[in-house]
Amino acid sequence: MPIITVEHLSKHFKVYRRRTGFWGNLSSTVARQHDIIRAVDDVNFSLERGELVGYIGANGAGKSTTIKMLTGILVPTSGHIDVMGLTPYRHRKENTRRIGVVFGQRTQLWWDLPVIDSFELLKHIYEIPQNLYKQNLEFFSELLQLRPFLSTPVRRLSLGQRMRCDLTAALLHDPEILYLDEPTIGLDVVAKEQVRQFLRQVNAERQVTVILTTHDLNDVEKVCQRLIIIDSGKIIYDGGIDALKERYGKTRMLIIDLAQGYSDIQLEGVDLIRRDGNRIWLAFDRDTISASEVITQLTARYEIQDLTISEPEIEEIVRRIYELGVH
Amino acid sequence: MMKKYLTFTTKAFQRTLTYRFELWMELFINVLFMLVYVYLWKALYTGQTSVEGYDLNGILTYIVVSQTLLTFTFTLRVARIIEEKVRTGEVVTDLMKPIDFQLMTLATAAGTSSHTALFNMLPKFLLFYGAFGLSLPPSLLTVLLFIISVVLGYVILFSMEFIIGIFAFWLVEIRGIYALVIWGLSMLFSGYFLPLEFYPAFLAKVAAVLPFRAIIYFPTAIYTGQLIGERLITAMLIQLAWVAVLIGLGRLGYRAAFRKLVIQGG
Repeated sequence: MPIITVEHLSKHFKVYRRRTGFWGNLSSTVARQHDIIRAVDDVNFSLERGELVGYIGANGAGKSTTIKMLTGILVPTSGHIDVMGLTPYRHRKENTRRIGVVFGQRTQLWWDLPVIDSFELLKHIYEIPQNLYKQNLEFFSELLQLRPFLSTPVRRLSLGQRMRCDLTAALLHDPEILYLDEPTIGLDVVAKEQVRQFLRQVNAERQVTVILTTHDLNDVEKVCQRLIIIDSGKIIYDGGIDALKERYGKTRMLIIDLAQGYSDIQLEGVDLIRRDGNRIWLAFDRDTISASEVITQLTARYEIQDLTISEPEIEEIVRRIYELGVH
Repeated sequence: MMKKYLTFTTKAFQRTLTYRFELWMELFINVLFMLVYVYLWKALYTGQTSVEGYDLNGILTYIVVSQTLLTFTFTLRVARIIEEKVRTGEVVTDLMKPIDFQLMTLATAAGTSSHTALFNMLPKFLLFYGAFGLSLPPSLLTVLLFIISVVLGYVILFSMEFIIGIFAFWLVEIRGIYALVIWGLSMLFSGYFLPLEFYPAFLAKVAAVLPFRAIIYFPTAIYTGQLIGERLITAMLIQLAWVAVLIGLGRLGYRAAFRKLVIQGG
């Protein structure tokens, strides 16, 4: 029994067009013309309880629109959503009691008050029983090391500290589903890693179902088991990360430091991707040519100082999917 | 249930303590303005014993009480807060909570305003009371009715600001409406400027059908003893009616606003 089922979900927005110039303005006032933007277009997926899913796509691909519909603050144009047996926009309040939401770009904490005051406010908003509240606060303070700044006003926290507090705020009432909209945006490497570690742990120990939208594919690679890619409102990939690599990751990258700057470099079955002084980047398909063949060709023609071979990063794969589509 | 909203009140009260310097400056400037106003009325009353039933002491009491109550009008920032929440999209965070938006906003405003009442209005009033030998309400019961009337007036003011704030869901800019209603109509018809008894007949008639006089004039006139007996009861019933109407309109407004938001997107 899936915890979230989405069937033929679409959201279309009317965007009114304004014509320029005097007459254009006048005619826009009399008869408004509009374009239909298909922000989400016939999307289908379902999530099992306890899954940890990365929901990714370029800016404007339809990620946030989907999340807004799942949380019940946006009504679909058509299609069907079932979240824990509820239709989110019809049962908004009931739904909000059982979900947690974190927006990386904004905080739900009270800016001028100590962190702990916002937590207490949430205790009352969600009517969390005192002992459960204490227990959860204890658990998250320990895990995210919140104690040193629990009584610091939110406006004085660093972005990383604030995000840890926002994560706690979203989880105090024991939600069954946690929606995260770009939770690592703007964080430094250490803070990002802390957030990822935390998400894995919360997912594993508390069976919270997590949906994560992000632009940082390291988040997805390190945290998620499953990846859904949306582009122009349509889902273009839904599956495991390893499967994605297997399917699209046949390209290998060879980075070579040449002993001297050769004027032109020509090799069969290999693309020169980039060149920077004596360093060159070569891409080849491992099905058509093996790494050792490429290296044999290279050493026969050029003098080489150093060489590294890399599998494509998930980032590279997704970029190619965005650019070229799925095939 | 009520506890949930009371927490907003106490937290908002607490939050106000953050900006102590601003609060002191505000109080200082208020006191200066009130001083000017009091001396103006003293000058106007030279050679007069009574105008429209107000003697000098009566008018000064009226001015100080109404000026003190006016503090709510210029410290309540409900419309601006809602506008900002809409502009920044923070309103979405409120929507994602199992909470009533209007009650939450009222509870929060009440927290901020309790602080204002305690640390700005009360000291200000006591200062003028002592300095100019003003009168107290005729009885303890009047004090009680005065306080209830102040609270009702406050809720009416809140509801107006709330409705103005809700316009932000449709309009990009609400400063125009705000200025018109709060600084224009409210100033003119709430009775803070001078007692409504001083108004020419037609303006008094207009004031009588608008909700503004229920904000400042009614409680002040209850304090000074101008409104007594049946007229006092009528005044408070009118206040109650406006509370019901304006709170109701605010609810309709924000329901429509949220419907627009969830159908068309933020």
